[in-house]
Amino acid sequence: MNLLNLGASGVSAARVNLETTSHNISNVNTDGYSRQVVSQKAALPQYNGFGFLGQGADIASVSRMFDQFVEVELRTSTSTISSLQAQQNALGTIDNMLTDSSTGIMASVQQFFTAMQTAAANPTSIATRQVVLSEAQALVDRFQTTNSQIEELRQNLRSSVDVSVNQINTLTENLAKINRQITILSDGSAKVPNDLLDQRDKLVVDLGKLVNVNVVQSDDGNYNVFLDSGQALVVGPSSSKLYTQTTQSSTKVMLDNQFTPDTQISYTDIRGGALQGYLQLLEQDIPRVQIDLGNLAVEFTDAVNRQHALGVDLTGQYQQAATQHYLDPATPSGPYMAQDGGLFQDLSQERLTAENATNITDEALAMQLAVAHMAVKVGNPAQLAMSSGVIATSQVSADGSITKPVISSVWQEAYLHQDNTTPFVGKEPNARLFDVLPPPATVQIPFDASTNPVFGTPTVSVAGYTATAISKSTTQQGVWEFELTSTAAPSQTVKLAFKAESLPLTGTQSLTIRARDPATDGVNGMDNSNMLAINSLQSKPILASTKTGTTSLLAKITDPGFTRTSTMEVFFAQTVSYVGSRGSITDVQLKAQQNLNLEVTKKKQGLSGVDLDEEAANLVKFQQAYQASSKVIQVAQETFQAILDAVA
Amino acid sequence: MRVTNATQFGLGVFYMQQKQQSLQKLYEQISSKQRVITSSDDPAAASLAIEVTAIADRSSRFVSNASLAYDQLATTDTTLQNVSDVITRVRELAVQAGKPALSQTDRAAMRSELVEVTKNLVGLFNTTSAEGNYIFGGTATGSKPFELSWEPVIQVDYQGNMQRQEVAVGTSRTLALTEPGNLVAGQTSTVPLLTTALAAVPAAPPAIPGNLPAVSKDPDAFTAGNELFQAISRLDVLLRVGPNDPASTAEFDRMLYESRQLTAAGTTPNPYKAYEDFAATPDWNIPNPPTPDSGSAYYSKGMAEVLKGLDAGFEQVVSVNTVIGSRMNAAQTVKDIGTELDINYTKRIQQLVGLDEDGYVKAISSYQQALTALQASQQTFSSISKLSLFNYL
Repeated sequence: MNLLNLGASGVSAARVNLETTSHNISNVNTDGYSRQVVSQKAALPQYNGFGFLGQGADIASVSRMFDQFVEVELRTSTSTISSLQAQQNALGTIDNMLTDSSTGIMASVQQFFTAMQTAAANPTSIATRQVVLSEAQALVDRFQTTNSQIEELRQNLRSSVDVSVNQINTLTENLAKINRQITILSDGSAKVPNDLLDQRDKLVVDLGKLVNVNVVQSDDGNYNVFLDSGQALVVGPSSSKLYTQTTQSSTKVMLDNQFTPDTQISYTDIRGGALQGYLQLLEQDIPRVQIDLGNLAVEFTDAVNRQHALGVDLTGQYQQAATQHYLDPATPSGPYMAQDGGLFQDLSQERLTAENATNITDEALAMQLAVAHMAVKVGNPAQLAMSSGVIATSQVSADGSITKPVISSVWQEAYLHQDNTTPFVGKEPNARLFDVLPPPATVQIPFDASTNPVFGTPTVSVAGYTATAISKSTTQQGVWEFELTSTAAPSQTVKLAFKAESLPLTGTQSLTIRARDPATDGVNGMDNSNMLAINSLQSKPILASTKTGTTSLLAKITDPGFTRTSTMEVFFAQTVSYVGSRGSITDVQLKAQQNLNLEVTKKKQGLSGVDLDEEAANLVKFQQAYQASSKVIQVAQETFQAILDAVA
Repeated sequence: MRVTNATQFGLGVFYMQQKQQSLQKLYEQISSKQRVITSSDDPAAASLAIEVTAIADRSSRFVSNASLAYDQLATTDTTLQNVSDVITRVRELAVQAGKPALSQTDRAAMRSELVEVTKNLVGLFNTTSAEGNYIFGGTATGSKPFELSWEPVIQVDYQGNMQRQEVAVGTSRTLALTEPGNLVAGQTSTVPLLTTALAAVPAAPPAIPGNLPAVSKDPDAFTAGNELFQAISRLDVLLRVGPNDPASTAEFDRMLYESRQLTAAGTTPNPYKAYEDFAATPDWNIPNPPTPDSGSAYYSKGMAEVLKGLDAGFEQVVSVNTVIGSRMNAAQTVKDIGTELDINYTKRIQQLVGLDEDGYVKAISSYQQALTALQASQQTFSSISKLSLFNYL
């Protein structure tokens, strides 16, 4: 009586099919779920003399529709997207901070110089001087706000790295556990726990979102998970741990190797995942912006301070600037001395730290601290040194007539922090003429209308000084300049500039200039030429372009070929351009990856996804099969009953 | 390809998000009228825009500096024109005073007028700018550049310095706001002493009358550049002493004598030649001193020198005024060019990061398009998502 068995096998096969279909329907929205299908086969037939008789249906296996290759593609693209998204968010934030034209850094620099110009036109007004100080403070605030926003972003990214590392550790542990469970539950290729396999693949995808990994399936079905650099995260039932090592400047992700020394995972070692994005931002982009911002702050304040120190304030006094900070390339470790004067806080100590840094993140830390330490030192508007520290002695002769040409203004020009390309000795201390050639010693400027140029080489009223021939300034109209060097050790050089008017067409004349002596000159002949000299810094190249490199981004004074080529706005524009380019590349890549990801997802879904219409059809199909097999059993029962009835 | 539920929903969401994003971008562009919102939209243009903005800011500040310079120079210009008028008035006085027939009372009245006119003149040189700064003091803008006293004689002295207050009107260019007053009107009204005072002519041998005095200065020898105030001061003295002052007569005779001595000896240069020449003119034809006529001659010569001095002073003021005018021109040019440049810079920035008219129209039409597309996606999505076989089971 095989009919009953046949019917029973059909019913049970249909029931398995119905259950699998229901399982599919239930999991239509489950993340990482792969559609399961039942593979059903005819049972082995029985030989009955006349031939083989079918024995009904057997369930061979329930398997999931899954393609390893599509899965790898999907994982890689998801990893890349996570990395790009992490970068896009941070770069967008920086971009917004830097580009805003009304509140940006450059706007505050412009406003500062505008205030200086206004004050220069009205140098004795306390009100306009106060505006200079207020704008200087606003500039410092603007730098520091941007700086602290970037630093905040950096700290956030650091904690994101920590969080990612923790998540990675949890995921790898779970992967190892699930590997073990699968091994225990599996029995050959036919009997596999499909849903556990799905969960494991889901874990790998989640892991891929954090860090791109490669999966190698071993013969026993275990997933072995490796980083791009080859280190194993999961091998069968065991997993390795990542941990972070943080200093003030850097965050390192380390792989715990148990017995051998631990390995550092750098952003260049991995090809995707949010962790890669965070690390790249931390090791490349954020330092770059911090270094640029700091460099701008250091060079700007240094240049302003140097010129400011050469002038005298509203009361005719020099501002305190007894010693200058400078870094001698021959002995790049210093010495540095404290400086109390200056319009802004001196940032040379931070510059030294950055100069001596051996990696990018240390440079960035020093530069970030430089901006954090920025401050306006002058508190009293009267102390702004707007007037020149050099004066032309009276050009009115005894009979009341005026000797011509007339020196209409004369001032000392500061040297920027020296570099290797210009002779270093004597210029760096940025000494005042008052200290190098104390009054009453004077400098005589010979004028001869018949020669070209009309001014010759100056002479000094006392011995021990040499001067270069007077030449026309290459940067300013109507300005003549020369350098004066004291030959006694330590040799010091100062650069003097003057404007001459009412040049007669014939004759010779000797014009006299000397340093302003606060004790005797008081407030006589105060002008605004020192302020004009500070103002001209705005259009002078005071910055060297940022380098590209793996260990250093800051253009260092000790670098061979260090040259200042950029004005502040050009320098800042290249920073913005850097952030913008990185952002725009990230945007484009992200868009491409998202489209790719969509295609891969479609492919994966095409194979593994659940289609409710299909399942509905299956439901009907297997229900009918179930009903049909039930009918078989009913027929068998009825047939058997007929026999019983006949017997009875 | 099999289409599954997840594909269907996923696709719908993806495309709708994408369209939302492009809508958002277009919305930002249209509402801010900017093509480049963040520098990642167009890094090259954004960084260029930063440079251009900085240059434009600087240029506009140069324009405002030039405006300031123009205004202040205009004040200077007006002042100098008034100064010319006042000098003309002084000159009229000097011409009137040249008549030797005037009574002492007439001269006293004229003197008091001269004092008033001079106060007015010095007042003009002590003009301040709108900000309250003295414009003729060089860089000493806080204190009065000219000091005037009129007793016993008119005395004017310059207190300022010789520097100029400059403002930047270009990256490599400055323009002077102030003019040192001593280059305009002179340093002092005091005539310098002779380098060696002339000793009195000895009484013996008595070839020459022995009552000629020692002379320490030539009151008519004005110094270059200081003629204006020296002439006024001299005019004041002449009005006070009149033509018949014995002391000044003697001085005149003394210098005439000295000149004739030097001429006879053939010494050149002869600093007193003017006296000899004056005495030799047909009007006077003065023989050897002393003569009773030389008092009037002295007065007339003084007046002639005063007129010359006033003319020289007038010339000097006018020439400075010309310089001021040319500086005003320069300031005006900077203003004009700056205004034009400003338009160019604005245009350039607009080109770099802004949304021009065409772009604006395009953006609006793209916005419409994107909106339509989004609505279409939403509708399709909603109708597809309603389809299910389960509805029919």
